Amino acid sequence: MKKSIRFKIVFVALVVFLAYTIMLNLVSGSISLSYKDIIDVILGNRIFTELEYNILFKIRIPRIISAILFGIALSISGFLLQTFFKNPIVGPFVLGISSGARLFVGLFILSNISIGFIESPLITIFLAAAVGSLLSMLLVLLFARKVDNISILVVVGMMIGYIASAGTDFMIAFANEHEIAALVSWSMGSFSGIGWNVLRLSAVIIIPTVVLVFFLSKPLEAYLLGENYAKSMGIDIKSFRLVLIILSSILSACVTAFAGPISFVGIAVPHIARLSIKTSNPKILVPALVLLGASFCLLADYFARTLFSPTELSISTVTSVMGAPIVIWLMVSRRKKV
Amino acid sequence: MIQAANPDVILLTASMDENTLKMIESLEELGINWIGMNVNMENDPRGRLEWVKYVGAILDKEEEAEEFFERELKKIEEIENSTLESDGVKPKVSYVRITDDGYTVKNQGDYSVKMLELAGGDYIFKDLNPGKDGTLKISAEEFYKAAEDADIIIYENMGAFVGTMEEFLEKGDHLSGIKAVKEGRVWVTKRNYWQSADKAADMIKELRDIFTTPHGELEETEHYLLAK
Repeated sequence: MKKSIRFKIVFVALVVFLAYTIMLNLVSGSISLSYKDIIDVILGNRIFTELEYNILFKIRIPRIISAILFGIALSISGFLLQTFFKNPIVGPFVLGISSGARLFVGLFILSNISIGFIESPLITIFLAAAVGSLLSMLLVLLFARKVDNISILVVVGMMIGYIASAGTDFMIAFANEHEIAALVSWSMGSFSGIGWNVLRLSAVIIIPTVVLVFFLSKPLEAYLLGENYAKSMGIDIKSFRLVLIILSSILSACVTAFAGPISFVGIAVPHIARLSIKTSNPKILVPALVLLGASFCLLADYFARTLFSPTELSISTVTSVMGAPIVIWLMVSRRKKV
Repeated sequence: MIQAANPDVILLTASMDENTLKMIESLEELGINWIGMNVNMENDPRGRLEWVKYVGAILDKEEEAEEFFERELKKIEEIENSTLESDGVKPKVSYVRITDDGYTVKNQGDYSVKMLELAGGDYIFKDLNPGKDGTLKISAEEFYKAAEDADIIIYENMGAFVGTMEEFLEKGDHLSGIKAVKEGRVWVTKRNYWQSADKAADMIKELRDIFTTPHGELEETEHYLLAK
């Protein structure tokens, strides 16, 4: 099959899948709302009751948008890290970056520190997560300079994650039970209760960053073909690598700050996208990641909300169950190739 | 730290989970005496209150404990009788605690639901795990669906203190659609609310006052605060 036709088929399939997961989340939940009900409202044949309106516009739709935004952010963040390390088994969670963000957000939650010139606690918490992410990333990079073996680097990332978790636990040991409750509930990871103010800020951070990544497709492609080739294309490798790290950290920090640490999306989605579309060309892959990342998180959130209703699972529980088998399979298949 | 305090005995309030068993093992290794006190497993506030007799026996203050228990029990009976005699419509009430990962509400069999019922309230989640104590984390939708026409919301503070209606509404845009919010009848628990088993009678009386006092005439009790 010609490449261009395959791309078109895959993209149509991804768009249909995204539309399906959006509709699934729109109609599923505590109150029954069928596709027909929604179509009737659109056609003006009926209006929503107050209960339906509030549940739809104040609970389900903000949650759908957050799953879309954060799914995209995690997928692109994972893709940038995988490009940087030229290895598909790295992601923000694996390399301890999410744990670093958790440590710093925990520090802010438990100590009530405020940054003088910033009034919004939302921006403060995002900056805390971003600093935590970047510091963890810098640590990984320090080791990356000395270690060529990616397996060892992944283990180093895991160790950094453990150290960051130990730091968080250390703070918890000295916190009162009320502060612990706040930190623990945030650490579970959820799209629940995310309001429009958080969504607006997340959109302002995530959308321009993803657009920037898309416009970096050409240098990304050159970088993927090898550093010497990239250099020959006039790319300053050091600066470019720094840009990759900063963009990836911004995206994962945004998710960690507002939805808590969410595992496996950053590894699993880029891999599924590469498998589906059968190319590593960023110009094709980035839009595919946007569509698939959003669908993946929407589907995970649908299971989190409905599997054990009325109670709700943490989003990481579902993304782990959906993503971990993919990562295991990926590691096993890489081993076979070696 | 516990060993440095050199206690004669430790009253251990816990369940038989792995952590408790480890704790018991450590205490025994250190030669520290402990006595189990499962007040947390009671699903009636009067049962929780009765543990004062157990503590009284340990501290050789049985008479004082018995006297205290009977006095508090009588107070609860008086409230219960006044509730039973009342022919007014019971207000629909919900407990809730909202965190980043969901809405924590009480199971039907929890002691605090019994307190609410003794005070004349109608718990909106009475079908939730009947007979089971403790709490359950539910989704925002489940909570909203059940609480939409609740007359009174009791917000159980844990974590950042919620003291005003504005702070309560920061927990979710949809909460503004709940009847209790529209009518300004959201009460929050004060910092002295938790671990007050000995204050059960007073707390039930406060709930009774909250349910029966015309709206606007009561803004604060010892354990509850009206969110304004």
